[in-house]
Amino acid sequence: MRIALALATMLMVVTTASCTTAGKPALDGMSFTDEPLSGKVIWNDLITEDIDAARRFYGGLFGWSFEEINRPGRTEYNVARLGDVFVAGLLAVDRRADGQSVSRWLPYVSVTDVDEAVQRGVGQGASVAAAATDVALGRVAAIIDPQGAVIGLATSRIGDPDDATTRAAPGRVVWHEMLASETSEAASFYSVIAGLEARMITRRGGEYILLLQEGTPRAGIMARPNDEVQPVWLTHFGVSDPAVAARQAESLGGRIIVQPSPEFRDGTIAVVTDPSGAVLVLSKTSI
Amino acid sequence: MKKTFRRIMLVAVLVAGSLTTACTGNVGVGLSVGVPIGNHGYMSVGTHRWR
Repeated sequence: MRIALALATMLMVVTTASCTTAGKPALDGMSFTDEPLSGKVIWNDLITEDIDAARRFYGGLFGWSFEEINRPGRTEYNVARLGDVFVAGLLAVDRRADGQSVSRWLPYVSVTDVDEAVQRGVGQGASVAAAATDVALGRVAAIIDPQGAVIGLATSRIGDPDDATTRAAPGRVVWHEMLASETSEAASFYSVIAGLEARMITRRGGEYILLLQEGTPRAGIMARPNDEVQPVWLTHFGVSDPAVAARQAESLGGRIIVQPSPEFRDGTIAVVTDPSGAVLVLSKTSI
Repeated sequence: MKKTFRRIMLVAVLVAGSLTTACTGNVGVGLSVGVPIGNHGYMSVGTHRWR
């Protein structure tokens, strides 16, 4: 009897210790803040119509490994790891009957109260793409901003990943950027719903809006390249060499939309799609 | 005695299992958003705006 109790206690203690530190999950290699980092993107999901192809693509391009999350009765969902850090999620969705692709990267911005942020967004002209709901990370929702760009909102129940955890590196998400039809109006909208401060900067003769959270740049807004581009949030991933990575993306079933070139942000980025058509930016990032 | 031992260990394994599940279940969203994204090909037109 005593031996059984001792063994049982040891088993639970070991399990708990491996999972929590000071009441929080100690996901190896990740650390979390006590207070929300409102305005910071704290998670990114790929919504994809071909999750098998997506695993091959991102595994080959970034060296990610994948863990399937058990969700009975729901479509397949994987979380991707790079080393010890969870970097993103991959969600399988069915194709739409009308044939239009819904594959996309969807960033989730930290807010202190998702339901309240949705209401503020709707009050500013946004519409609800996915109503607020509870998931593993915490409470989340997705909205379509007044210009048509889709963005996720999240309140994490375990704190937000700190900046050391999300530091830029190859294979990781390194930046978010909105291609807007009206840049100033977009900046005002995200100030209202996520408390971000907009700062206009000039670079290479053009205007660019940085969105800051307590002085830290969290995202950018620029005018869309032309009026045919639907306003969208783009997710940038770190790569050592955008040209090499773009070719590799192509060999893995993706497509190059914009080749890196000296005229295009000094050759530091490439825009590609994955096999199911989700757009991503490959952004030069040092180790 | 053996029965009690087995019961205690079973409970311990179940508790440990649930703790492990909660541990790996702290990340991820998985929210389905079926909004079409439009034609990306146009992004290659007007790249001079990518400052």
